[in-house]
Amino acid sequence: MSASPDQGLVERATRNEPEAVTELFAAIRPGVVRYCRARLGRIGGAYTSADDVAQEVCLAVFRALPRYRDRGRPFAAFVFAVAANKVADAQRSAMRTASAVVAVDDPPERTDPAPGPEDRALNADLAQRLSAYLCLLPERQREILVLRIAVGLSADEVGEVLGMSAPHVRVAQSRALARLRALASDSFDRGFGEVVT
Amino acid sequence: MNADDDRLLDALARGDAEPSADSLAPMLAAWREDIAADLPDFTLDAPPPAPRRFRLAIAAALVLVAAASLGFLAANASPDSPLWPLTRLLAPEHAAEELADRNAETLLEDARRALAEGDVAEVRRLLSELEGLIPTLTDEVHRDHLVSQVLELRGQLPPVEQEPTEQPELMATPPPPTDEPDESDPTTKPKGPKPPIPTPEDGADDEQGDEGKDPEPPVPTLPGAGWPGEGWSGEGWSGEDLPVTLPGMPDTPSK
Repeated sequence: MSASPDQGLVERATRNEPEAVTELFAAIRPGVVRYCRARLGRIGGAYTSADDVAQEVCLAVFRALPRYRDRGRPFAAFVFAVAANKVADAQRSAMRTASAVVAVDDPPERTDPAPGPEDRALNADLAQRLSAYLCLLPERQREILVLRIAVGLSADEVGEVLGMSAPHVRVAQSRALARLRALASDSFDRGFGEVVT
Repeated sequence: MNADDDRLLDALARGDAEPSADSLAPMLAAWREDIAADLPDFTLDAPPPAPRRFRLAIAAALVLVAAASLGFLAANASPDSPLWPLTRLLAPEHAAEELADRNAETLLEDARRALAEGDVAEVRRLLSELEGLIPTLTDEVHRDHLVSQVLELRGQLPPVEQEPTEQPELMATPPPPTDEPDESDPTTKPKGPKPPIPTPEDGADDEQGDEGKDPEPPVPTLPGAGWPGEGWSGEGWSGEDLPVTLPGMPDTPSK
């Protein structure tokens, strides 16, 4: 999947054609939500805050739409630049109020019975651990992985968003993964059981 | 290595990471699944919301503009304006100035009316009050206008005579002593029974009808003429000195 909507749709949306606007936001919204959740994590055990920021991002993009001009970069570059700023704002304000509590061991209750409770608990735990590891990566590497995995952009698209060449992105993403593997095996060596419980 | 990683990331991005020997893969997949679960519904998704938000923004902007213009208009409103209550709220100092201007105009009108009715004492009282108010007005043009009006009105008042000895001529003006009070022009006539006694000791001139005491007819020299001279000693206005400042007083006409 590509999170970068096609240019024709973007152009129609900038002309304020209602269907195009709707379609455009339907296309970018999931990626924006996942991006904000990946960057902000669970706050108070839930993604509510991240989702609020995602909505702000969508609104900001929508408001800027009439002034948006295609300058040869993909629309996604514009969207995630806005998103990065909003996330940074949210982090700053969370730091100021110091009210954001990351409840690592309080995964949200879910009602869907699809995966068994144990699986979900394990998944949630894995997710939380990865989220913690991501925070240990250099900012640029973390951003690349978020855009690649959470948002779903291709290496080329990530390169356009971040202003890097695609090969450079691939090198950086491999370094990031290597770092994560090291972190994971490190904690594994120290005893996975301890970490889990 | 790079290519494998790239494929892994592409698969994760699609949400279908195949099982692999990579120990990290399940963790990344779990993370991807976690953040992709239960995506919220935004109101922005609904087709109309976008334009509606715009309309709301425009409506809000219009309200702001309207409020601002209202505030501007109110800031310059007069007491007759329907915006006057707003003016008092938003621009109390302007409201106070406006009221002072109003007061001054009212006093001036009252003074003219009193003059027409021949109530000289009232005219003097009103003019004195008006003179006290003038310095507090902020509008210079209005101030100058009022000053000239006051002078003009004072010019129409009969001189207050005093010091008969010193300047007998002064008072002569309007009513010839011999006349009955009535025939002289109304403005000059003393309204009440007050006698036109010339006695006032100090040479206070005409101006200023002292506190409520009346100004009398210019004809002090001849008490006997028309008015009952009884009972009025003229004490009240003894202290007057104001006249000095007012040029062009009528006194001289007799001459």
